Amino acid sequence: MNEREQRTDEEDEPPMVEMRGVCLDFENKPVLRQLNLSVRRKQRMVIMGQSGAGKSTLLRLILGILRPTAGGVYFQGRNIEHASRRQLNNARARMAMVFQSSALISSMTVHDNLALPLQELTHKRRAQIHRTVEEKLSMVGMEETGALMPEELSGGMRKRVAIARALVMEPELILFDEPTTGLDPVLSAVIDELIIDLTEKTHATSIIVTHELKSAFRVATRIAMLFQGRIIEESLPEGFRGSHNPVVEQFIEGRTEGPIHNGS
Amino acid sequence: MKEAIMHKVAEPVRMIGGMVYLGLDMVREGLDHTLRGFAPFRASLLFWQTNRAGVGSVPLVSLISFFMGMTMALLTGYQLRKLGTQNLVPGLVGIGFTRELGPLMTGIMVAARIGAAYTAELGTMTASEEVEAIEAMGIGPARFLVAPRVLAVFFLLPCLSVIADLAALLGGALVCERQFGIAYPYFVQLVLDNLIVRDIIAGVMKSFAFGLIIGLISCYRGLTVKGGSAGVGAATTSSVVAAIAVVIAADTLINIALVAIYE
Repeated sequence: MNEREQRTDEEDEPPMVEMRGVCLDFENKPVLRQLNLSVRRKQRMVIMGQSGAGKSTLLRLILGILRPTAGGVYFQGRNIEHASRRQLNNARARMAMVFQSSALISSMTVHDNLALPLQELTHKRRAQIHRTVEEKLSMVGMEETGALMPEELSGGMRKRVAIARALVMEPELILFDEPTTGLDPVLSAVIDELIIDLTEKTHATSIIVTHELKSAFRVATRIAMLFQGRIIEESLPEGFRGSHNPVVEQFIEGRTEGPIHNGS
Repeated sequence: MKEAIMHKVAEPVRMIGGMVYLGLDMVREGLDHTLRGFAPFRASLLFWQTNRAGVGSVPLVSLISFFMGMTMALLTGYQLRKLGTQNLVPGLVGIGFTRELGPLMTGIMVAARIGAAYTAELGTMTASEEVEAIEAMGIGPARFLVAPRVLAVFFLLPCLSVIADLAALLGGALVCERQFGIAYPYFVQLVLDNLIVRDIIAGVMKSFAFGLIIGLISCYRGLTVKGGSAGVGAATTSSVVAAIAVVIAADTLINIALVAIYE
């Protein structure tokens, strides 16, 4: 199959994630308003926006943890909102999320954190689970940490373990919530390269939420800007950098004057 | 003012609704997991929680019930001795603890000891996004986190109540022998003469109900924590207060129902 035919096939497939006219209110305050977004297979979609713009909320909508007030969220063409409990859990088993705080289970060792989804959701034997855990830990360069507790790890190490945990179920979609926030620039670059390397190796689609420009341009194959509850710009990284949208321009340049005010 | 009153009224209603939903969610997730060919939850988690809620509570429950039994025998004995009916003391301690004080005191002690621990634990997990991470993996938190805890306290509370009853009877027997000259074999005989099966069943039934109430309230409070570590502290306090209040209220309601049935 040549490249052109392959591209046509991929375009015919439903998007990995699609959000159509999504609105979400929290205690009568609108957070998302008529948001539209489409993420195709194998893309690394970076969603940028101010703190509190609703970026993490968007990831929770995709996971079905939050339900939209209006509109639909589709995963591989199926509306998450209409899914039964079993369908939703099956869909979640094909996704993975790396939380901003890493969210490792503090009462379990690193090994048990990675083994948890395999033990709970698959019929794999103990030896197979152990092999998978070791393999994923070595993919993120954390081979020797299996017996450690999360509290014994540094912030960067925790982030790597969280990424390894996200990989154990071999997900088709990985959601990253602020993966480099709070890390030093070198470690941020290491995590960014890890995200690129692993998503390419596993052919997973990824959605990365961040407000860190350097990290966003390093990782993204596409970038979207979330502002006042809507996606106001969505393009290739080069197009995003050259955008004439005043909000995007102000955000990239980090100016205080412009359409972005404090908290809006 | 009106809004404040509405909020005060709405909060307990929301809590009751939330607890019922959590209980149903636990059953649904467990059934769904079983239909997929898995055990509803890990046996090791249940055993661990059972050991902690049950075995760990034995010293506290025994000690307090022992002293309560002594106090009850002393107070009633001194009054009854004036009428020459101190022989009623063993029966009073036996019935009082088996039917009422055993389950109630155990419920209050377990609500304070285990309920607080459940809320603090789940609250910390909620605040640090661990519960959300479990949900995001497709593992139902109600099944994985709540079910072993609720079942442990549900099944263990009747056992602890029996231990409380025995400890109280021991305390009562000691006082009766020392203060009122009732020998140990005679004490046992008097307890057995007065105790009827209905009292034992009532005590056990109450214990099951209290276990379920404590488990659901403490887990629900833990999973609905808001506001970081301060929120965990506030939720733990309110969980213990709510559990103790609801256990006492439920005890009264069960007593009214039992009286209506038997009398």
